[in-house]
Amino acid sequence: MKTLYSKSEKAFSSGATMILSALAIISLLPFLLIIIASITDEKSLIANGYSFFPRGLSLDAYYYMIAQARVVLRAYGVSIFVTVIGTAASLILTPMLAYPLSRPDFRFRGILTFIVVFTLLFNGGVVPSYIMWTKVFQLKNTIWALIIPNYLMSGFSVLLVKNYFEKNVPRDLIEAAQLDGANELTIFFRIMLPLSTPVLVTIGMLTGLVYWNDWINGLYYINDPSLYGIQQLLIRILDNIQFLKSGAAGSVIGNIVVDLPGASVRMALAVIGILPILLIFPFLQKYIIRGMVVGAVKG
Amino acid sequence: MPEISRSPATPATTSDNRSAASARPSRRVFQHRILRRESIIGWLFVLPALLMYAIFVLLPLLLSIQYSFFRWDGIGPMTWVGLRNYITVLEDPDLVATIFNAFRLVVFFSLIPVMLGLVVASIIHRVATGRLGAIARTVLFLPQVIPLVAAGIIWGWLLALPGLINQILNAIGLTSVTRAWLGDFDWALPAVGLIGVWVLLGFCTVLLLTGITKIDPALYESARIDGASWMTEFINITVPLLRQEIGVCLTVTVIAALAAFDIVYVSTAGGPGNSTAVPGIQIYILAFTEQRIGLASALAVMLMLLVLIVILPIQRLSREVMR
Repeated sequence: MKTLYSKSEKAFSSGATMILSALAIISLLPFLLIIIASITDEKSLIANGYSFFPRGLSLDAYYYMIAQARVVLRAYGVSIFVTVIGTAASLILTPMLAYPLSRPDFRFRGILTFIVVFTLLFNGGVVPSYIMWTKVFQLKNTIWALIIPNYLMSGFSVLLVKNYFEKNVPRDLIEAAQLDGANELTIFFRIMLPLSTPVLVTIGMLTGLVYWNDWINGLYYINDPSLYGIQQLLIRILDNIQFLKSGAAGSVIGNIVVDLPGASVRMALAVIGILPILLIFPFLQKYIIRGMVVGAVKG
Repeated sequence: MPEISRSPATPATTSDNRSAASARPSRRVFQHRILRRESIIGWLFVLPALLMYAIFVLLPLLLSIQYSFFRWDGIGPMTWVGLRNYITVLEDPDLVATIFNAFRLVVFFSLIPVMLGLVVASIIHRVATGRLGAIARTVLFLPQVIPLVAAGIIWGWLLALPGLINQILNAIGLTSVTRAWLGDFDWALPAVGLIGVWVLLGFCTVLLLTGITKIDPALYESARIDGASWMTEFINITVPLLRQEIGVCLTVTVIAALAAFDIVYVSTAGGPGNSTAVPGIQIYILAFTEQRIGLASALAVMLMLLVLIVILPIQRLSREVMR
């Protein structure tokens, strides 16, 4: 093909390469900036604002975090616990629902699939959900409030697994097993699950990501600082800034923000929140991207 | 769910063909025998998840509708007010403004990412199939996976008065336009929109790129032999054949815009004043700070209908062409 490219094609090609590179850099810049900000000396942050080439470097923010290790580590612990338990539970429930939905001989699959799709588009509404979780289930300020509401069942994952079952597990295999007298439980655990590890890995990743990044459950249901995950810790700090913003004339925000103590500490916190994902993502992106994209198309 | 297999020339996804190829003769007889037992066991499988759906999603949905006909502070007695809450939503200029804001967000969360995503995806497909393409894809996707809270903090700083955006403007002599973007009554919404573009562009690009790779390469080859430019290719091959993916992108991003909560909350929380308040934020404020549960529910129900009204035509348009 190369030989077919004309001169204008070459020009286009180099132009396009530049545009792509520029876009990639623009997407990356914010990450770079906060990492640099987190190691910038607090005084020079206030005096000079943000810069990619800060005058004074300092690791104070990180020393401060180490001094506050109890809070930070605890938040990390909460986030890890929630992510692990939530993902595990969801990995059990999701294929269980997906399996019957994948079987054409299950009579109610149509209506049930519709319900699953429906929940993709609508959630029940925050108000009744909140009332239900707090009044009926008494979840407020318990660790379960971070695990059960909203994320335990994702219609997205169910459809992903259902489609995988339908396409990648041969029907004949299931029928052969049935003729051999295998019951549904055996088929599910011995055939469906082992043959579906790729999709299970994918939804495991996606669910884990959702739990790790979640802050909305924390916003609604947690005000006990000992149950803050890493994202809640960040959002509470952000809330404090916004409180100041709304209390003052809008146009002086910038100044207020800089006057708040611990700007570099906030950045360091943000870095700590992002870092695990930044480190893991390049290795797992194949699963995550494929899962999100295929799921979206199928859904 | 329609299956995407546009090109007979490319083997679809390799694994798909395996199961389809095998014959299945005696299914019907066999099926009938075990139908009853099957259904019961099927229900046992479905039950835990289904119960959770019923409790977590369907029940609150019905309750939302019920609450919307009452005046209620969440604690005291509920007073039936009929459609009063809905009338209030439509008459209160502040509440109507939130719905307009949601539609303005559609431009940023949906139209720009989809259009830009189309261009970027087709550029990656045409010129940067190698390493640059892979890197660009990963990097563009990154904002989608990082914690949104951190994104809010980052952009809060980039868009602040001493932030990077203003530094750049100063450097090129545009000092007069610098401002605290997220605190400016006129500019806060576009600024929030910019964050939305940053978050959603990668998702759209990758989704559209996946679609492009499924288009028969022979089409592009013959177009190129005929000397077609990128533009011609883009308009005559890429866009028409990506209709379904574009539809998906629009659906996802339009929902993200109309039902926006998280991006707005972490960047402006609806401020300054009400200038970036969207229904999602307003429902939160009405319910949790003003204790007007009924009004909040009415707004929620209307938001739901709104999403439905906007999404259905998109779905129909993108699917119709496929079949």
